[in-house]
Amino acid sequence: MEALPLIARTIIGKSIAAMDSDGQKVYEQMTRAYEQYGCVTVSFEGINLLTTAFLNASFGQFILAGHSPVEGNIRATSCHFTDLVSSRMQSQIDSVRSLALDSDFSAAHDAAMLDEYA
Amino acid sequence: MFPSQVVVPLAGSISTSATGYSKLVDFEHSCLDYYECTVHIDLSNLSWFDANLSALFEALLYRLSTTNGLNFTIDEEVVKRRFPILLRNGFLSHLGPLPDEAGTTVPIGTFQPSEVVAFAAYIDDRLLAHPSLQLDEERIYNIRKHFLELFANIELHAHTSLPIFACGQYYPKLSQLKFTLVDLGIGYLPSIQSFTKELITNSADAITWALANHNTTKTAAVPGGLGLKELLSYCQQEQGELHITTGDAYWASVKNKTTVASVRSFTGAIISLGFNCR
Repeated sequence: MEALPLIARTIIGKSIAAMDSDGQKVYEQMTRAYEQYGCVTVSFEGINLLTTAFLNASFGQFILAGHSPVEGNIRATSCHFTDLVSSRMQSQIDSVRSLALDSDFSAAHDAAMLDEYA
Repeated sequence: MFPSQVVVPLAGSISTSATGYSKLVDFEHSCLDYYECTVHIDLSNLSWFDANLSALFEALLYRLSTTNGLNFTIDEEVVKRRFPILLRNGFLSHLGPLPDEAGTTVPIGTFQPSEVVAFAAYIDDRLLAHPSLQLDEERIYNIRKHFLELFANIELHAHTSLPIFACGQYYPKLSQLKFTLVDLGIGYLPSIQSFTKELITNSADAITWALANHNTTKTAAVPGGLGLKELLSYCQQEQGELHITTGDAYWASVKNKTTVASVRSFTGAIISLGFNCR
């Protein structure tokens, strides 16, 4: 069975995807969809602005949850975004993807997570 | 036993500068000596007030009324005669609002940390649509995004449920629009000190850290890191101004010249931007 796209606007209830807390909500839905179907599509229909804070908390965290460069890459390539209203949004997504797949960033993220739960 | 009414002065020139911020923060510290009484704000020796700093003034009055149970009065005649702009921008409009016929104000706005949609509408409709700015579509998108990054960072790092205050003012003689955003959270230092494992131990260094290209906490940036760095880049490109105050530190970039100064300690963060208007 193919996964239905996650509608970001429905998940966060607003047209601006800016807040970390909203990114967390999308991340949780992305994780569920990935575990069930092995791929995720997120529609940004009705969203007119993305921030890095939102993308870090959603897509960035989703990639980093892979805990290895290989798994991170698999997660990144299994995730698709549709209905972006501008090329700027695609650039922002690409930037977060690059950062999350960067090994130094990934190591720092893991260290921060370990600190948090130590 | 506290008196039922005390008088606390606000004097001199209060501009968007270390001195101006310090005078307002001094006012807060003076008021903190009192509880459950009325404070009369004496403006008789106030010579100038940058109207964009209404955001900071309003934030301080809000916090004092919340923490110390203070009520405030102000000399209406002085305000009407010498500072009518404070009636036009909504700050003291309860004294009798005046229309902003010259169109120089960006009215005061107050937002809960969760009210991102209302804040975005305010940035769009009040700040970016201000006739003095004349920004192209690319700049509008970017500045809007930077402010929303800042707003998101307040939710993430400021650890506060207190409102966020904003206000702006166009100064025709300077051809400049100044805009101030204030949060009453914990300020930059605590989170950055913790994240850097005590490498950063003062507010001045915390501001510098937040402005650098760091992006390695749990899911996002250090406080202010997102949005602030981009706003600084914008100001540097446009020969504008960026002023940041948190804790006991003031940092400013004015026409690409950086200034750092110590100020009376402020719990929270104050960000002011100076847009050059063509």
